Amino acid sequence: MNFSTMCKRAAALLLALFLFTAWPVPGRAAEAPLPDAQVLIVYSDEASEGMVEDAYRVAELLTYEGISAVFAPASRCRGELSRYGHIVFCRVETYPRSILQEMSDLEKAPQTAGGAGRPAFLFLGNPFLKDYLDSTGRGERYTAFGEATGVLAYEFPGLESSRALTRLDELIFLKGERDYEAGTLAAGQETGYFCCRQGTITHICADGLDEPLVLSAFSGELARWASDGAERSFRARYLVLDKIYPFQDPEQLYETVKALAERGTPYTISVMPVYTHGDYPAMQRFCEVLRYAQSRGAAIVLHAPLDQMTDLSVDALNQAVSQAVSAYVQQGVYPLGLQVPENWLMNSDTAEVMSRFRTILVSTDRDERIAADWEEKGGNRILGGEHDWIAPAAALDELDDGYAIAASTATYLDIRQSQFGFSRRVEACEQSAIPLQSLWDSAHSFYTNSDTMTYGRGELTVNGRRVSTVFVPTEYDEAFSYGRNQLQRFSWDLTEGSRKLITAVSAVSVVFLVFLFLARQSNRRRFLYEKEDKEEYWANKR
Amino acid sequence: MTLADCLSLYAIIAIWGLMFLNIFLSVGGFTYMLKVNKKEREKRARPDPAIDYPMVTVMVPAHNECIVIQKTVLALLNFDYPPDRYEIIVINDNSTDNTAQVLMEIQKKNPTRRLAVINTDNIMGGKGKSNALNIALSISTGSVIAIYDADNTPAPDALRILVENLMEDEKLGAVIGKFRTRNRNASLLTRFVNIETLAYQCMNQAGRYFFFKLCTIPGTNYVIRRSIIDEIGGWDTKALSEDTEISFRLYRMGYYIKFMPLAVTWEQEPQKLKQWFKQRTRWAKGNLYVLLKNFKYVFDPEAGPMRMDVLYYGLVYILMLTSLICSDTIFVLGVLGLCSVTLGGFSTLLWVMAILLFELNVLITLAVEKNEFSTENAFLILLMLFTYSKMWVAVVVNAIIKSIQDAVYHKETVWDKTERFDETQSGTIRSKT
Repeated sequence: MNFSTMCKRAAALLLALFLFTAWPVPGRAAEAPLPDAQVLIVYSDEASEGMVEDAYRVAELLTYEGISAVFAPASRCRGELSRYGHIVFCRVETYPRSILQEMSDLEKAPQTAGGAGRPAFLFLGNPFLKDYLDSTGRGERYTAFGEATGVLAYEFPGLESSRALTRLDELIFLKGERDYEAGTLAAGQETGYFCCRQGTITHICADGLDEPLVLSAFSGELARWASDGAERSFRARYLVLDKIYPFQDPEQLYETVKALAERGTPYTISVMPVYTHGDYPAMQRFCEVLRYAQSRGAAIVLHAPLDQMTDLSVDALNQAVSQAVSAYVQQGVYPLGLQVPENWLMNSDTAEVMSRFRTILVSTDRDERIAADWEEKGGNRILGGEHDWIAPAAALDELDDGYAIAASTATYLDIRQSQFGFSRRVEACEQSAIPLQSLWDSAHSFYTNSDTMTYGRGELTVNGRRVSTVFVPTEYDEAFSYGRNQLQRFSWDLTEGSRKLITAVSAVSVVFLVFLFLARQSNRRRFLYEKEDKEEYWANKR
Repeated sequence: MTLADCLSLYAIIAIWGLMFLNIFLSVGGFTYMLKVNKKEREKRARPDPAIDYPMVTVMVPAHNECIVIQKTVLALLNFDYPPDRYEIIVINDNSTDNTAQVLMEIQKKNPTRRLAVINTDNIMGGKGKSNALNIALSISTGSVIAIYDADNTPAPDALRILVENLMEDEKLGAVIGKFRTRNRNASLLTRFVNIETLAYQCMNQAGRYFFFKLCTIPGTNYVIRRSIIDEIGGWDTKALSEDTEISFRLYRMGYYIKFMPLAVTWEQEPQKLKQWFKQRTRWAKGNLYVLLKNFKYVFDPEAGPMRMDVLYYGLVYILMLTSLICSDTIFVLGVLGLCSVTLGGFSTLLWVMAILLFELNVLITLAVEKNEFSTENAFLILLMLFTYSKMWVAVVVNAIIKSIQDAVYHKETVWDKTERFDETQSGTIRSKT
């Protein structure tokens, strides 16, 4: 080894040592603060899937109220509580002890004139409230009952009391004077409240949000708490004929539409998207029924693309929605909003797709292709504040005559069920204390890649032109050419092939990169130490 | 499924099929190149005194080549092959320029060397490369024939390396070397040709040889046994691609051809589009002729490994041409909004992946060469994909039309000589036909 080589190696070694010592250690960096929001939802460390889902459910309910919410496990919220005016402790079981002290300090903080400084706590469930009271020397302020099954009785404004069984985990009731109390919960010989408030603490002792009555009651109390006790009134309730497919037999839809029109029932039709062949006679007949329904007071909404798509990028989804809207608009059918599966609220991409529609109807369906990423992306703030949300109604009885009183809700009906069952459900909705409303009574708007729509004060404007929903019968082209040939009898899906191709391309790319490295190494040995430079080399070759 | 869907599907399958065939060949070619560089470079570094080198006749057909012939002949005289064991025959084929004088001058300056010049007139000569080679064959004395084009400057060791390899196996009918672009920096076109030469001639030859012991004689820088040429009755004067034609005949006789990338020659490539188009049309016409003539052997079990080569040529010319036309047509119609593809799972990702693979595939062929692996060439590869490959489609379509015209009007096959350029003055190009 000559002196020059030795020096180079020494320099390289020093550089490597420097990089090794100076390189930042991953994972040591301080975590970014939680995003700002009106409500912080704290859930348990090491939370089960159900616990996280409940936290998401709380965020979803707040979304319908137009209230911004972020959520995080308890340990992630340390030092962050003072930044929020309202904090929900959602079935917290595992948590750092320091958070109790932080809560206690906040509770003792002086209340300023504007109400800032002392946040409102809402405890969903019992164990964490019990721990908190014990840790702050208030063990005598509650009565504990342990595990129990209770009967919840809850009276919605203007309605008769509803009852349901519910599971109660380490049930406690707060003792003493209460600022507010709602509902009753009977467990064994004891009867207490469903929800009560004492100072900064609001306690909801039944935490089984899977039970529709608990969910409905909780949604109302949550909305009341988040709006600092403002009285809530019923909002709109909509009847939606769910998942009406193009190309299906229009006869059944026509009969249903006719019957609802004769009853004077306001309702909405949620049509499934169609992307091609919008001019086929079958589509024309289907749209003719929709136009008829539209002229008789039915509102139309577009169902989000579901199973037919493989590319779920924002661009692809927007393109699909645009195509579907265009297909209907060209047939004189004007969707007023978009119906989406429940978990579309929890994904930033689908949130972006929804951002083009003011009116969003949320169903209880789930889109299994969509993964929730809203916790990392800033809670429900990904959805923006520009939407009019219509939440799925919680089913309270066998007729699905349910409601989530805090928000506008939709009851979804399947016209494919028996005529008797369908009629009973429509009657139940009509007789409910919450009056059915029509989407035509409120304002809507959307834009897609190719169309725009605004509706308000009885005026429907599509692509800048005012349009009418007066029914005009279709003139059918009897000699419609489908453009079919032998080739069109076959179809082909490249999806699976594309997946395999991506794998093969990745493998080949890796092999080629290795080859490139080997070739460079080999060339280095062959050429690098030759004494001819590039120009001499070429000159010799010429 | 619409017609656009069917054509797209065909294009996707054909292009990806050819892509993976090419990748397969590149993997083999790369392995072979590394193996040769590692094991043979040292072995072939200098003449081996223990070898009894055979007599070689180096043939150079030349038609109006006064611009380049001097450099070529001087390079041939500079071989490190034993001077008494090879002769050079230049066939000055009906030239109307001063090629004869240039050659005479060289002869005068090298009186001790075995350099013969055959000057033909328009009666005896002027009938193409095959005819010129047959004339040279009639006076040659070598047991091995080496062919060089008139625009070549072979490396001093090229002939020796080729012959040493040929002598190592009696079943070897011919050994071919590598050719590089001498004027690669002359224009954008020559840069494209340089990359094409390395990727699709050199690396593909190496891959086919590595996997199947299959090669196609490239027309220059190769040696072949004299006995074989005699047995097949000389070169086919009807074939424009006499090299491809002779390759097929050689395989049918039970011989095989070896690719030896250490034997390098540098040749001048067309610098202008018009000349390039003319030359490539001639090649394509020749290859189509050979393909049609030999396609029957694909189904002949006795044709041996050449069946695979015929099939390979068939794939390149039929599949690639039609699939590129289909995909480009659908792309253009799609942009104009006149058609759309409704295949499930069809996305631009397929094309992006194809471009990525194409880029990587060509890059590894450049990586084994000196001074070729560069950002500039990486960019040129992309540019080639969108320009040069489209020009290739135009060339083949033109060749098909011309071939049909020739067949309909019974036109005689004419060797359309490629225009040469003077490279002596930097920055200026003088052309000569």
